[in-house]
Amino acid sequence: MHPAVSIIVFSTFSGVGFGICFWLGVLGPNANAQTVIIAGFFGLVLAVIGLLSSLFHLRRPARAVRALSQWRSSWLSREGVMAIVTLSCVFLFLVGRFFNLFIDLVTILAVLMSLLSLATVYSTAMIYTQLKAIPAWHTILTPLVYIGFALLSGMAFIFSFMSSLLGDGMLLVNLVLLLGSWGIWFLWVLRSDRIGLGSSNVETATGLGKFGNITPFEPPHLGPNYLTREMGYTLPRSKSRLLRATTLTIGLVIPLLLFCFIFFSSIPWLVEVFKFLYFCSAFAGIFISRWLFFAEARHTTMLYYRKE
Amino acid sequence: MTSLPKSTERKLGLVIDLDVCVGCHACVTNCKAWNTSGYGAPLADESPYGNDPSGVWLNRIHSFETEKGEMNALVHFPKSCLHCDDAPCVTVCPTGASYKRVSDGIVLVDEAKCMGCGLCAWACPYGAREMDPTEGVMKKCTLCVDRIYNKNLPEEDREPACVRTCPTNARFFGDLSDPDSEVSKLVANREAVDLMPEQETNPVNQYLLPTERYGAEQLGSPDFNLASLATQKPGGILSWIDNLFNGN
Ligand code: SF4
Ligand code: SF4
Ligand code: SF4
Repeated sequence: MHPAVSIIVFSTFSGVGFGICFWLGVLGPNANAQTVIIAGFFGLVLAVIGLLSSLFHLRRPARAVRALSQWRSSWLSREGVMAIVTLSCVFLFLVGRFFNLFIDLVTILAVLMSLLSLATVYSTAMIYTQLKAIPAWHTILTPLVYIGFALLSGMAFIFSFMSSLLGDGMLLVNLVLLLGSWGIWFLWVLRSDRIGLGSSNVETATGLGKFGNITPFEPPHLGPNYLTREMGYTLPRSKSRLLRATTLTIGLVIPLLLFCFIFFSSIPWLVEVFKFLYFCSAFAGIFISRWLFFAEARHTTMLYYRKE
Repeated sequence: MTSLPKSTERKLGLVIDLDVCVGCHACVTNCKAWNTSGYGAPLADESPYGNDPSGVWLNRIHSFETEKGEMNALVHFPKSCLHCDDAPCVTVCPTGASYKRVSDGIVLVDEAKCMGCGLCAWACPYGAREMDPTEGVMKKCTLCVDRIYNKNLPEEDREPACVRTCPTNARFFGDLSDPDSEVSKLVANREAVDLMPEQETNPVNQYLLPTERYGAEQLGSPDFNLASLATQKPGGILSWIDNLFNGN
């Protein structure tokens, strides 16, 4: 599938934004108000950047508000509704903490905010997971990868910039998230390599299976079209290997090394630098992996166009 | 509403005979001609001429080589929206622009609602939806909804443009839920298939498979050779014409 930047920014930025909101819900009801509010502000801003970016993918963005109407059937619609509800909840929570209002309510809002954040990221993932025509995406592992990376990047953000919110045990949580989310990603990649186009092939696509092997002979028109541009994106195997190695190095190996440095370093400013790099590296790794999520995905439509 | 109806009153659709399609692209051309001036916005041609032509089509002819034994045959393969009963393109649509009609099962896009997100094109396993580059809305086969019920057209024209124009009668239009319709009889009498049944879309359109003459059996038999056809002498009036032109 064509890896459109607007969509990659959409899911990674809203991922980290809602990830931050999730953790604030867990950590925030009692933590230092000022830090919580700053972190929450960044969570909101990142999520909104992501959501706005998705508008750039639309050919008719002025009609985007219609997209909230079909939540009964459409995951894209649900995602929009969930995002708005979650952002409102986060906003109320932050207002509550800022003005020290409705204290009891703030605790409830915190729980709600965490649950809603998870639900929103889940809806984002389901936009892709629901597509049976792209067998690599059509698995429960897809939402797990999205949720894992949202939790990881949200936690990494708080760890890097607002670590005062975190107790000692959070170092361990970070480590678990780092290994866990990349572990799920690895499983996802293994599965996607094995599944290919699932049980679809050119014989089922044409119904001509009983005539032996079928090969596409000529495309309908000489030039490319919307379908081949959108669904015919291919990444050469060697490049894909290289990018997978890069994403793992930047997303997992470097953050792990930085972790050790942070743990053993006694120079405070150096620790801050390492923490900063920790978030940047983890997030860059997630970003590349999301690019790969699209670039490597194969769509059944291409069975009609070329030998797959 | 982008939930699918539980059932539709009729199942209008196409039956495409792969045995007789010669890949002439007449249906493609007439589909484009009709639909660029019919229902909804015109079908854009971003670049109709030159080295890199590109445009939107609702119907495209692919071709495939079959291999059986040592013989190959070429199958021309028209493909347009199959108006699936369980259309995944409809349920993914967030705006309500995509819908399946209860009265006849036609899958349509309401272009006034579409925001051009393209998700429905991703959801269709067959590649039957194309984004219009100038209008920014999704285009797809309408089953010529503006012809089949159109009282301003003569009776015989009230069928899809592609069906009307096909010179070999490879395309048929009708109600596939009615067992007595011409299309249902074709499906019953010939070997008809769903495309990609594993995608569980339950397409309404049916494809009639090429008959056995595509197989190796006949073409490969020793007493059948093309050269003998070429050297055959015409008789009767044909021989007279032949002589006229060859001057002997
Ligand atoms: S062929 Fe594609 S566009 Fe047409 S109804 Fe089926 S899934 Fe939808
Ligand atoms: S492109 Fe239009 S019709 Fe297709 S899913 Fe998006 S809004 Fe619906
Ligand atoms: S039914 Fe109409 S819109 Fe559909 S392929 Fe035929 S001519 Fe085109």
